[in-house]
Amino acid sequence: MTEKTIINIAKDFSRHPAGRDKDDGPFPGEKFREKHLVPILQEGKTALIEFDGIRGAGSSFLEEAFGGLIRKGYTQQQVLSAFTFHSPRESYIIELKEYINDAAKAAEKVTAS
Amino acid sequence: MPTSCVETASSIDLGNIITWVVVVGGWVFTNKANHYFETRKEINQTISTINKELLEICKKGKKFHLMKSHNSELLDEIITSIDREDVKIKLLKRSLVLDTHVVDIRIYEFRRSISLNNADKSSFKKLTPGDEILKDIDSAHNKLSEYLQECYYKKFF
Repeated sequence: MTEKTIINIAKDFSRHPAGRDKDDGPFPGEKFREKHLVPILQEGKTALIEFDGIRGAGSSFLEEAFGGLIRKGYTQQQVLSAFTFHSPRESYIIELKEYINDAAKAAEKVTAS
Repeated sequence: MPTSCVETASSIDLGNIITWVVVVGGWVFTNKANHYFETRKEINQTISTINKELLEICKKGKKFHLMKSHNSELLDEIITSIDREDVKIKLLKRSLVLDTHVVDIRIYEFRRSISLNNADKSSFKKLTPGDEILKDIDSAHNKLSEYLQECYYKKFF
């Protein structure tokens, strides 16, 4: 059994994650995705993503970080089985799962057409 | 004679007991009613305060999108304020029948309406009044406020 990695956004990335890409600031969703999420998927590991300690996260950060994984070619099932989430505010978890779902639906449409 | 004395004594006792029952019952009833009205007033005030703060966030959200240039500080302030309201609303669960899952959805819809589209420095453009994003902010704010009001009415009316 592989050990679950713990990624605390506040400690391992930033207390102020914001924006989509590098033009939006120093700690955007794209950077978080490439630095922390993609390696987990590439290595076939699992990780717990902790939101404890962050001073809020904008929706565009969440969408780019998590919805962006689907656009990178990973399936919804791969993403949801690789990552579990913990947040003192459940709304972040519901929101990011919604973005993963929306991105998967969009990807399905593209594949179908 | 002794019989009538006993009768008088027992009727006095019964009268006393009835008086005490009425007094204690009245006190309990009044106390409960006062407590109910005080609780209702307190919760109403708390919801009013939260609704005022939510309205402020809504105004700031629209202001952010109507500004000439991107304002990261204002956006951070808005997102942090929404998190703060989230905590305050959840505390109402102690006194109201509040579905926290519904609150979480309303909260994220509110945050999303402000910070998903046109919220990043690289793609920001000043919106004009009447833009769909501004309407979405109003709509998400109303849904959250109305849910709180609905919970209040369900509990007290």
